[in-house]
Amino acid sequence: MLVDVVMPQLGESVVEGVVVKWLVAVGDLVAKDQPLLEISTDKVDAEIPSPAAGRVAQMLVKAGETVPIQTVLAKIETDQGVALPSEPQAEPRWDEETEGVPGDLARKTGPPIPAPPRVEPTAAPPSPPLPGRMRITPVVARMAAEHGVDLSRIAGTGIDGRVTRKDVEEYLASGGAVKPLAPIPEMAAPLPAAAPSVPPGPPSVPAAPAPKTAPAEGDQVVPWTPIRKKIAQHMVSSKQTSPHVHIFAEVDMHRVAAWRAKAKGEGVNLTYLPFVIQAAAKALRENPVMNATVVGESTVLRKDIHIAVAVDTEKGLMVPVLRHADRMSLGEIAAATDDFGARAKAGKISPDELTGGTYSISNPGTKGNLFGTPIINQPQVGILRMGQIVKRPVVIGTGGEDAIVIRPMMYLCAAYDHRVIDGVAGNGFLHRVREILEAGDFS
Amino acid sequence: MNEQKDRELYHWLRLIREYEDRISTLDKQGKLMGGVYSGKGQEAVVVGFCHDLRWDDWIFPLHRDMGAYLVKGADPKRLMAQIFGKRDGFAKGKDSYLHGGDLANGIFGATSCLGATLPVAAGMAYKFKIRKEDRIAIAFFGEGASSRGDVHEAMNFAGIHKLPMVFVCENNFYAYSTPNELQFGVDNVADRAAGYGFKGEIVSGNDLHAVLKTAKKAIDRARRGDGPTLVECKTYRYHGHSEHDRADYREEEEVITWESRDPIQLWEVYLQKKKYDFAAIQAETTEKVKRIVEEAVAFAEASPAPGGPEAMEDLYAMPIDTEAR
Amino acid sequence: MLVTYIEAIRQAMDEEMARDRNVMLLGEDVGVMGGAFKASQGLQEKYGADRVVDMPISESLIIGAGVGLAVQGMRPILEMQFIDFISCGFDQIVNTAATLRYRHGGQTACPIVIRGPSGGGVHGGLYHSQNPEAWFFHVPGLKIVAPATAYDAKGLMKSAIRDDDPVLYFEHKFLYRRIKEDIQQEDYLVPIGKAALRKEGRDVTVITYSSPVHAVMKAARDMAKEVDIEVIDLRTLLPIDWGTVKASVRKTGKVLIVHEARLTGGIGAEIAARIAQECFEDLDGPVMRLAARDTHTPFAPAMEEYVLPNQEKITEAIRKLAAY
Repeated sequence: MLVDVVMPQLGESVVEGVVVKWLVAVGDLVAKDQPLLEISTDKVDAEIPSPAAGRVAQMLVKAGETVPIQTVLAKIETDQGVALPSEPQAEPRWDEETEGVPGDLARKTGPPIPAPPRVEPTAAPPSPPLPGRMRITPVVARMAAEHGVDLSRIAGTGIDGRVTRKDVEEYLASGGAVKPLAPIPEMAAPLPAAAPSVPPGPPSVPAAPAPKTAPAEGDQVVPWTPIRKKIAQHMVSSKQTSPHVHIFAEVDMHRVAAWRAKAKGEGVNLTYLPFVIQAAAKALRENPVMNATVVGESTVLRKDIHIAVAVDTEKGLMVPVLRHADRMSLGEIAAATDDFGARAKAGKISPDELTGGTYSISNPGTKGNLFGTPIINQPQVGILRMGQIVKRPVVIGTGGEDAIVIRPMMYLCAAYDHRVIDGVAGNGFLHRVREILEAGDFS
Repeated sequence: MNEQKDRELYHWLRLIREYEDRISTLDKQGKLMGGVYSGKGQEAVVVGFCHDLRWDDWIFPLHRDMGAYLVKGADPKRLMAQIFGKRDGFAKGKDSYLHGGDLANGIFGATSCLGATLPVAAGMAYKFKIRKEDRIAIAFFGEGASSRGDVHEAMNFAGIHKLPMVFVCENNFYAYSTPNELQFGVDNVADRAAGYGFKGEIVSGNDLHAVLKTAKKAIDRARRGDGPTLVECKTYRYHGHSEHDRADYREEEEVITWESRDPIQLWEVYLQKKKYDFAAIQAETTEKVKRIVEEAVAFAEASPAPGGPEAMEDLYAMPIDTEAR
Repeated sequence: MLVTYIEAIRQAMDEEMARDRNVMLLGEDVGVMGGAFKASQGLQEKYGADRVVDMPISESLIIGAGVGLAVQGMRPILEMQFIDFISCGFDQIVNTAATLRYRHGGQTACPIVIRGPSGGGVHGGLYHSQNPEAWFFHVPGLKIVAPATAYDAKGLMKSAIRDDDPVLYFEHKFLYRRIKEDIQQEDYLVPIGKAALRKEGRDVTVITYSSPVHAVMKAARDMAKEVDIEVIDLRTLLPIDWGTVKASVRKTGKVLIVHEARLTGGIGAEIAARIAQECFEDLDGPVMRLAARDTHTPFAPAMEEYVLPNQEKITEAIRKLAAY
């Protein structure tokens, strides 16, 4: 059988050695312990004795080569076909006459005392909390208190569904509801004085519990991912927080289309989205109440315009934010949205890029149908949704004469939060967006 | 030897005795805390070795060598403040009794880890040697301390390099309650010197003349570069190991025998035999040492006690603030 | 220039001895032989037998003499041939060196460096594998450093030599020739008391030092898609850079401390306690420690493997904590 000759570790810190000189050649017969080669390391030079008697079958390393320790340098074919038998093990014998010899104490004492139970160097984290109880870490408790967050509304991604600090951070960044709102006193006024025959206002009926439905055979149960949980919670809470009003504009996109065609001619690919974003940014600058948020009982008009653009990914809806969208050119907006889209789908968007939006735009794309009623992205107060662009015959007036022309038309829906935005402001904003798009007034 | 020197030596003996007696009294008056380790009866040893040292020689006294501090030049007032544990003491109250050394005067603080100062002394002596300074180090230790490994390691090293130092073993026959025969197998600690490659001398430690002679030989040898000497001084402490030790392990007879070899009385006999005006010398010396001791006690009593937070000081020469941003 | 970890230490000693004639080296076999690991190769030829001193087998003397030299204004480096032997000089370290300044009321300093190879993973058995830092961590008046890179080894050795306090310098023998780095030619120092942020991250902080730093960094790279790990290499163990540690805990909320020394009473225990107390409201998970099991470092490979932290154990520990 072949026995390896290895580069030994001569010295605790030695990691490699040099083969200085071979003292035998392939084919030579060697005895056990016969020196085979000379090696040199940082600390010492030595001869390597043969581990077995036999014939030098292979020499794998040349003189002058440096190799790591434990490298096989050569192989010896031993004469025997089987491994040499090891020395027979002597049966330990306890002899009454060996009193006082080392080992005596071992013999005299009783069975060994069992070792104390081992404490693992990394103890496992604690067992799951009792049902009905939540595991809350100090930092989560602190943040919940500071921001008035109801932890039961947050889906936890930690073990056993624990709400982690990251979960709270993301919840706050995506605009999770904070302190519960006090009813706004003005709302009570418009209610007409109740005439005896008029039934009192709708009683506050507690929400009926959702009917229980168990999965039937053949149904596919898809448990919610953490992101799905978050989206679900956010949608519910957004509707519960903001009274949504949806208004629609029909926008003649022919100038936008022309711009696109011109850009394409110059080798630049633009979708309709950058145009809508830039128009919205401009209109937001002129209508600050649309670029706001509610804090307590105040409307905070935000100084910066950061537009969040919805991207649909496998994992769910993501809304990366274009910072200072009002300062970006069309080209810059296009590049940024393309980049976001690609990265969001690849899961490479960082949490920072998902926070800080002041207004949102949703673009369902070519299969987005004519129009839709989007849900406001809290804590913003408005959102824009683009519809499909369809060529239609429309009436235009040129120089006093009406004519029918074919134009690419798009329905634009703007939702606004009627707590803080009334009809004049809301409609004014959407009207302005349409104006900009129809004027082709871009940069 | 001349009269001036003889009187000077007498002054030291008397000062040490007065100083230690006063401390013993203060302790019994409850004015001192912690351990008090009287060297009463052993004065001739420290006087003999330290009286003629240079300011830049170093001594490594043990806890019983109050006298060594005084003779080497420590300020008696600060030494008393040190005993009182006050801020003006050498340790600023941080350690007790003789554990705070007066480094400016070449006095290394004693330690309870007996024998641990010997390697330090050897290191210092090594420096004197390689820098070719003709300074010396004297390391004092009790015969009990001689059992510690540090003592062996230091002497071994001193012998290898012929270091400029003197090892002075004060053998007062008892390490606390442990007599010589349970402390070592040889007859004399000095017998071990041959094992380290240098000379061992035995001297009668209560006889100042004998100590002076042997000390001078050893010191000169060291200064010349001829290596260390191990001098064993056979002597005796009148009090127990500490003031709280009644020393019942000793026979009354033995104590009396040694008290009748009192080093101060022996020296007084010598002064008288030299036909000096002994009465005047004695009176003058008495007045002087009493005054020095009184001043020292007054100074120590007036010196402020350190405050609690001072316990956190003097740990590092270069402290690092790791919370600073 | 490319240097191994041990060469970096040698260079530091060499350069400091050239710079300051008071720097000296005392230890067993450091002179003629250049040290059991060759850490002081060539130094005696350069600086003479008076300054690079072959000492007898007397650890207590080596350290005590070092203190004596220090009081005399020298700056001695005292080698323990294997750091395991430091216990033979324990008394001189904790009762003479660490107390020197304190019990002399600030009259002097003790500029000694006590250095030697520590750590296991080399089939060294009980007396060639120890990590004794915890014993000395407990002693005020001492400073302790443990470099993990060749760069730090050189810079910290220089700082230790120039520091006026007693510094225990625990080098790791496993790293001696296994790591090679390209370091600058010009003189530089690595400050004592300052940790190194080896990698920034957001999810988990791993605090470590000496040899395990390399395995932790590898784990950080390998697990980058799963967990974003922040790695702190303490470099100085006494005093600990609490500023850096606490800032990181505030950032991630999850801490794993990894050291090769044993678990119970190891330095990690102090760090964990301090974090639990002073950063309680920043914690998003229990403070965890990974360390050697509480036994002696055994000789047979399977046993040593079982006892010491390794790549696998580190990865698992990080994963568990990240999932909490």
